[in-house]
Amino acid sequence: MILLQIDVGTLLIILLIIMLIATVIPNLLSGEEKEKNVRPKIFTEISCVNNDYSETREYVPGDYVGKILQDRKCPKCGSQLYIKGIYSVYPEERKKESVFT
Amino acid sequence: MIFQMPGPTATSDWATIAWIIISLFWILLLFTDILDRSRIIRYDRFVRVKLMYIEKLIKEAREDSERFLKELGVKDPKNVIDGFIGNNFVIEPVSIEPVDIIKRMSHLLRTRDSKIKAYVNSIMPDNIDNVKKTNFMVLLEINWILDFYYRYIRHLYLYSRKYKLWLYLIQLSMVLPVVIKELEAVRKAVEPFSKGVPVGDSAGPMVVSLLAPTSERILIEEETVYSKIDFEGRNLYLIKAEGPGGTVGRPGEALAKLVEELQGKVARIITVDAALKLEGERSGSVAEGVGAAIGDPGPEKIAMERVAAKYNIPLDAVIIKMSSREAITEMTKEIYEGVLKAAERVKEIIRTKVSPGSNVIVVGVGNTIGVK
Repeated sequence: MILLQIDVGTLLIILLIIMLIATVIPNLLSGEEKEKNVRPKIFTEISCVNNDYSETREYVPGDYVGKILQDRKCPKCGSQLYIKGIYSVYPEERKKESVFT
Repeated sequence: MIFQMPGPTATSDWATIAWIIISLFWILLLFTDILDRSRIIRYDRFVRVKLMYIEKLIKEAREDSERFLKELGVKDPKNVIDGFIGNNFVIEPVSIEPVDIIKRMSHLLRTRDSKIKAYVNSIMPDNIDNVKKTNFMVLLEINWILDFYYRYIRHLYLYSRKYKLWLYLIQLSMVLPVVIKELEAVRKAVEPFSKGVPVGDSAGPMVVSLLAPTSERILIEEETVYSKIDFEGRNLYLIKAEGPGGTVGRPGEALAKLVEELQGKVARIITVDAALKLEGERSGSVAEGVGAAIGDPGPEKIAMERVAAKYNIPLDAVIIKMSSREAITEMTKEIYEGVLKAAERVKEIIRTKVSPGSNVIVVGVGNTIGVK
């Protein structure tokens, strides 16, 4: 059995320090999440008008949905190629933001 | 472990002083407003820090917008943006007398649009195409939104300090984290609108584009086009804003005009739009309902409802769900997949609910940035 001798003053000071720590530390730890300037990668999906071919490449300035690509033809049927869609992909980190979705 | 408490005779001097300090501390806490004041100082500091952060967002958005203008050859871009921010407001029409309020509101909104267009045309070099001009109009709006929110929050902060309205200050600090998140999204919208990349709100026009990717777009209303295609024996009319510039067009008025041109002989109207998801819902999920899917102050939506009711045309709504942030930043892959699903859903509605030979109209509502 360990026997500790402690006076009232020391006990009060210990209690005061514990109270201070319990008040200050949660406030310090609950710093708000700073918005990270994460830029997404943008991709362009190209498709054949006959829907028998599609490819995805990185976005190039000047791309827009519905743009007919004059310099290229479908490698399968020789028809026109057009930009079907443009979308962005964020790094994996961003997806973890929401727990429930 | 046992704590043995010595008797009062063992209490040292410094322990007595500590005891007095603690007692005084409790008296101060219980019988003065020192605790409330310390909290108010914390709220005050919090709001000030957030205001500084909004200032930073404004500065970043301004720098990007000024860079965009410089690339287009505009001289003195700073004054161009200042000139817009300081002179852009619309006074709401009288609502206590609701007769023809939509007409009056529509008139005010059209006047505002014309004013912005005239301003942009006056400062842009002649060789700049309309796509870049419409994109810049959106950039001006973004800068105005950030500036307005900053000024309004600053007003509430200074007002609460001036008249010691601490409740104002507390409420402001409670609501600011959400406002900041929205403003961060607005600031991030500068990039897609200066590059011409589709945003989440472009989902509606993109569905229309997927249904008729290479069809001719015919101008029907200001900044609004339609296409006509044959879809499995049905006459499919597709309405959207004129792209690929950043505009929403006038889909309601265009729909009303087209239905009148077809003398009301329309079997079904399907509206497609981006919609705000509820927290916990998955971005890009598609839902089908009834009504005019359009987030408009009034004139466009009522035009859709009126013409549908006039000719008793069923009005369907297909929505693609997303957050407010996703709606104004680059379209994510999840939303793009939702667009593909929505296009299939529209086709399914036409196949099952519209008989061959009938006319059907699909309206793709939203900002058509990056979508022709």
